[in-house]
Amino acid sequence: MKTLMKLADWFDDRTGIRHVLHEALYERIPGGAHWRYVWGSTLMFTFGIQMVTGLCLWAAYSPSSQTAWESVYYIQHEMSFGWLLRGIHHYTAQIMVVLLAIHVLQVVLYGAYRAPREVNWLLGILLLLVTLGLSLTGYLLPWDEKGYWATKVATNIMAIAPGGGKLQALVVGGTEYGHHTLTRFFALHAGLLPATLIALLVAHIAVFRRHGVTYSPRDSGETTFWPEQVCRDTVACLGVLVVILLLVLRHGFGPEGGANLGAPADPSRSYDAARPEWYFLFLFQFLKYFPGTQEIIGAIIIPTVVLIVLAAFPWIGRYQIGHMLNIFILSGLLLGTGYLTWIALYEDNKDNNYNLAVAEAEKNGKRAAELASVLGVPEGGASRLMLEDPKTQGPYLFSENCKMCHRWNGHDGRGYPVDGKPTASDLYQLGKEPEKWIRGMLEKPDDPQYLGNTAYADGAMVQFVKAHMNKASKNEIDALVALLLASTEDIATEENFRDQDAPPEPASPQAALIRAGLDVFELGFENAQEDSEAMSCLSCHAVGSLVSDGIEPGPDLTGYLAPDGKWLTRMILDPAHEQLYGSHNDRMPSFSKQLNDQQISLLVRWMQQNWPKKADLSNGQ
Amino acid sequence: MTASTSPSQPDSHPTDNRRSWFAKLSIGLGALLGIPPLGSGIAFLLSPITRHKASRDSGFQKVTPVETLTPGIPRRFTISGNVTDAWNRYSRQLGAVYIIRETDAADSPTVSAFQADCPHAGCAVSFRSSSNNFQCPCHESSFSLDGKIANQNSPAARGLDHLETKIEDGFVFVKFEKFVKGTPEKISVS
Repeated sequence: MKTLMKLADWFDDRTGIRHVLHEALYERIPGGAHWRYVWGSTLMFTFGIQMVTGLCLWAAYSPSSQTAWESVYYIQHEMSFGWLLRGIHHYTAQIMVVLLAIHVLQVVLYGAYRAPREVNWLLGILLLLVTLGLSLTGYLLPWDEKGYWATKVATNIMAIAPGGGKLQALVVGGTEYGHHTLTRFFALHAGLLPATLIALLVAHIAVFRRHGVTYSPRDSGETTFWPEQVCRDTVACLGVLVVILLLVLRHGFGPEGGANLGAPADPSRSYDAARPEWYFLFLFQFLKYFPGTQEIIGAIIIPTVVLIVLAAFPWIGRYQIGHMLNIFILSGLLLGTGYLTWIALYEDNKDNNYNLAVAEAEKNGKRAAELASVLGVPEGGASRLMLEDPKTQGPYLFSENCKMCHRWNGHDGRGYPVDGKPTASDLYQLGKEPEKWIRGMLEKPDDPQYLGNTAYADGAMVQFVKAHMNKASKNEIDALVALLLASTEDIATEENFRDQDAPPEPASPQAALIRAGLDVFELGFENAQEDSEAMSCLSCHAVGSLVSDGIEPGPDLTGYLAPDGKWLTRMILDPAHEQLYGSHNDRMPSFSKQLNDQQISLLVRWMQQNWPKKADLSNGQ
Repeated sequence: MTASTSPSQPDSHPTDNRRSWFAKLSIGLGALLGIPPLGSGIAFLLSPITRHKASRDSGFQKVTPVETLTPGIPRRFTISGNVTDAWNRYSRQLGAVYIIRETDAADSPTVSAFQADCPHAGCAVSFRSSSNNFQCPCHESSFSLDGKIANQNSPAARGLDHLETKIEDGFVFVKFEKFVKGTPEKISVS
């Protein structure tokens, strides 16, 4: 202990540290310590959190359009407590905005901006702007869909200001959003803006120390900053920390909690859930009232005027009436902001498409993380994983190409409702539960889900099924279903055995059903064979090498519902092929020229739910 | 009149107590405030030690047909393979090896292989035909064709690292490994 004191003396002799500490801690507080003085300190505290967490995140973040999302994914899902660190950084940024609003409001209510504190008020406004700048630049860095689109909107709005085009190019790093957008935003977010903030903060505190707290004449007594005020400040900071942690942990303790990470940015895809952070929502809403060329008024002119008025507060407030006016203006601004934010939230809340888009974005974000974790990110970046994933691309392909006639469980494949009546079948069951589909088709073929909406709602197939299916035994239906679910290869195997004089026992119950199915397909139902007008499936359809005798040619049903998806692929490529609907094709276009092989494969695999699943992939590793 | 009735004492004691209580509370709570950001930050930065997940292909890799090797003359080959580099998983160069065909006999050729990294500090050694040995460009170590240290003043603690080889269907296969640098023993880095 004695040695330590000696060391401290030695150090103090050469630096004068004790005096500095004494000055810092034993600042006199006329009027005594108060809870209402804590807000500035909570802001200091939150900024400290941002410095610590930000520096740690820096050690793992990689700013480029092929590594930004990927490194943030890695922080969130793979690194120890990365989700917690990122969550704290994310929510502290939001809390800072709230604390800033409280701080500003309090300074105005207590008249603490008035002479001789004008300079500190101006420093405060600059600090506010730098903090908002930090949050705006930080929002882009994960390079996920929401950050990408929000930044695109913000920088495009910036371009409408005089000279804004050049400024936009400078910020974005050119005309395209890419590597340099990220390196520049990162330099701003982790370099220039924090450095500016620290410089302004030092000046802000120094000037504050010069003038001291603004105490009311009713306050009596006097104390020092340490420990009475520090204690109150610490308790308040603890409260703030608890709020931050509650926000971080409200979705769970682990990578599923903390800050959200959407799917990697994809410039080609519309992102209907695009919104700025909640504290910029008021501006987002405000701009809706300025159509077309008037946007500059709402986006640039009015905010600038508001800032100038705010900066002029100390001079407006020289007289008591001016001070009252300032309070009125600020209350108006805060109420207006709150109102606009509320309208934006309210409108979004009742906008069904927006909510569906949010759900879709959530789903895509989860899927991207799952693919990155299971498959690893290829050289082209994580967006490649998404582009090659049936589960992700299928809904978009269905929506873009099929929803004009078909539906998917009543919607467009992505989950959005479609205007107008469908004019073809709902393909959800066909892909997802093919057995249910074919049993339903054989029971009620004119149901809207099957042929009810097509040109064949009252066609030969519907009439045949209605007239004959009641004569089918359960075994016959089971056999037919098994046949239609079988692959081309399995059908060929059973057909070969069928031709033999002494066929071997079927290899499995399924094989036996397929073999029986071929008999039913060819000869019709046993109970109906007496009927002179009796038909069988073979009257119209072919299967395996059994070829239709052509009363009314329908599609070849070999491998119709097989999991390999070959039949579906052929159907999408060329529905009017003579082995499919031929000249009877009901409006379905050929997609061979509209979609490439990869797209068709993605669509078919999605329809049949045949995509990389987390469990399968993990086992295969 | 007793000492305890001194007027100043009842005032100052509670105030001092109060101040010291405030001070203790401030220090205690202050320490608490640091835990979430600093704690998660430190755990995060320690990830490479606590959650070592990087990996690369191990096991034998096909390198070259034996017949392309001239007996007694080392040849350098690049080894590629799948690596997991943080979030990325892809194929890339893993390093280089030297392969020497030892015997001339066409029917039973034997080969030996070395890691091309110097066992001292990891610079890439290269074969010099003029001196018929391997030279390290950094600290002037040299190694003879059997991998042993050739110069007395070499800072290397061991000779070049031998790699396992096998010959199948006329092709040389090498089991590519990396080893801890600077130690007298050969310790594999997995």
